Amino acid sequence: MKKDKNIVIAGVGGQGSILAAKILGSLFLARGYDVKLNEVHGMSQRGGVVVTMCKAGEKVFSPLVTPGTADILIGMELSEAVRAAPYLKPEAKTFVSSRVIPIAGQGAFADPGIYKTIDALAIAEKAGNKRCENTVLLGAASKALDFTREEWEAAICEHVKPEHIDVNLKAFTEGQAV
Amino acid sequence: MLGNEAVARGLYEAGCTFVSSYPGTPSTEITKYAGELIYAEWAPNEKVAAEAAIGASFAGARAFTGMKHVGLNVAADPLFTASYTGVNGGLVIAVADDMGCHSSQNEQDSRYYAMSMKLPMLEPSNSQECLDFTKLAFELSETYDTPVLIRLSTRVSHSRSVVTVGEPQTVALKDYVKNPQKWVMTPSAARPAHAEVEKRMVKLGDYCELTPVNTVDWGSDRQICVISSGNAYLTAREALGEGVSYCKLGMVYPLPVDAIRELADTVDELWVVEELDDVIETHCKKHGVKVRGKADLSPLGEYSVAQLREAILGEAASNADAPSPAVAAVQPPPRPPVLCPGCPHWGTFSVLKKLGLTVMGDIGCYTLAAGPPLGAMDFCVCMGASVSSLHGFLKARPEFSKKTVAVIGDSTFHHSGMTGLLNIVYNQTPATVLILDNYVTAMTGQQANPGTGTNLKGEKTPVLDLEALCKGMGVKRVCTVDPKDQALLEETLLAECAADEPSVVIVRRECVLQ
Repeated sequence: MKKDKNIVIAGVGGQGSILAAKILGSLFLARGYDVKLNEVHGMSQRGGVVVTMCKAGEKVFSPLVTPGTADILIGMELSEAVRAAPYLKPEAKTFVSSRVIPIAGQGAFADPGIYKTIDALAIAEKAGNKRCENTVLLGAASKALDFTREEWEAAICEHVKPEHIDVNLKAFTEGQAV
Repeated sequence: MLGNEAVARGLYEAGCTFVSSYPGTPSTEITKYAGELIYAEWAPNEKVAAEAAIGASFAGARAFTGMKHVGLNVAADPLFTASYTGVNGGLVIAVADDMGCHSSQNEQDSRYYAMSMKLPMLEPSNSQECLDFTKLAFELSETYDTPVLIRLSTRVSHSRSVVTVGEPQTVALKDYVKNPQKWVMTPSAARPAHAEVEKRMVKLGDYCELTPVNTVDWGSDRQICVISSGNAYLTAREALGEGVSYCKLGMVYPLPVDAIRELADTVDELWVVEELDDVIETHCKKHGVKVRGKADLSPLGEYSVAQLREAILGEAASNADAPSPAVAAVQPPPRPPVLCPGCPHWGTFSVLKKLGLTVMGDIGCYTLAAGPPLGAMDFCVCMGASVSSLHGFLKARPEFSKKTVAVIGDSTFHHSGMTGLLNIVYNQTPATVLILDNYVTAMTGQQANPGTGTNLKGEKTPVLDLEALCKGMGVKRVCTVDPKDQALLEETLLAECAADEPSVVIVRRECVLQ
């Protein structure tokens, strides 16, 4: 009997959260889990909130994570990670970027300090491509997930374009070191 | 596999050879993925797409069209009568509802169309069923001589789940035989055709009692049984667990009578869990089956696990469902979607706002200009309505002609703005229509359209000449402006609003995402 694992990825349209969810999905599938991913398309993608979900278990019915049941939060953007807090179990592990993307017409978002944050953008830039924030955070989250380096590499290679594999693996390793 | 991709895979495996659709979230990816496997095209609107698919079916091919729920309103006219003609090659129509209005202007329940068109409707709940039900739909279509509807939803279309694919089937074209009594729907043909439709529905009623896509999964006790379908079924399973029994309907029209009566006799309490309207519940009650449903459950949006637990199991919402006061206190303000950074139409709407114009808006990216920070839109109803409604608005309030414009995108104009413009010219209002032309259907993900110069397959096509089209309809004042040139745009709008005859301003620049 495989234990249920619920992961929530919170960010803003265009940050690559669907790719991160697909990588997670492949990891669990390869271990024989039933997996469902839910993603957001259309209007909400235009700079709006994007909450992507990955549910794995013996048998998954709804693709949506019920509030209060997420084991892991990957926060691609700080204010959206705060907005996603109601999804979390009290003991959930969180991997949240310190990056704040301003909301049109609103003042600066003050970090309420509910998460320990990671400067994923700076780490991604250091690894060679600032668009690899998602793999940096996956690297960080890998510490809370029971997969080998080989399994991670296989899942990343499955979903990343061949020319971007090296930089993504580097970003993943940097994220793991956080 | 994404639900929509699985539908496309089902089309391929079923030997479907013709797909025509107009993009619409959450249905768009079906046709995109279908284009990687078989012939698929973008049509200017859903009515054209449906009629093209009907034509391919008449010719003997297995044919498909997919659309969002509001697209079915546009395609309804041909489909009501295609129900009477029946099919030659199998004809399948997918319609994606949007419970919760994730990206739509309403949350209509498309099951009513199945009822009023008298067409069978299947409803998958995961990607495997998307594939399997698509193949089944073609079988039913040809066996019962009927177009078949597949009802999807945002969650089913845009969730990924595990799929086992099958082998593609090669299906030969069916012979075309001239048969006016079947294919020419004059009143004298329609009356007997209607009788045939009623007979067909009786046969389908028998089929749905036994169809393998309607299943019962017995729980550990026989107290509560839930009748459900689609995404609502998944939420119910998640919420109510293994103690409860589930009657999952894969076919949502027609609905079984005997099977449901039998179920009612076996359990203490029968519930219907259906998102949006009480279609299944009304069916049960009509046949004297006592069920609980909408008296305790909302007709709005998607159900949550907490909602179903509270209504059906009487469990108060657990504390985990509500954010703790500490979390609630730090919630950021809403993040509404906005026009992309660098979108040239920030300029267009800034000018409209500056001039204080009343704006009849339309459906597309530019609908986002209604919200903050632009707030430069006064109305938005449906595809094409900006142009037609501006005409009516000005007939009722002629004094607004100097300060009111319609704003419509290129793809929306092709879809259903053209006929509104024809009406403006024919019935003469001094209306000013802005066509925001970025050569692409941008909102739904950059699909090619007749103004792009390529088709779905990326092949070169003629480019629609918008200026010539508008002039050909009789608009004398047609001009083209670059939205980056705000001074010229402002000057042009002032001049065109002041003019005493219809005018079209084409505001043209490539989409920033291209």
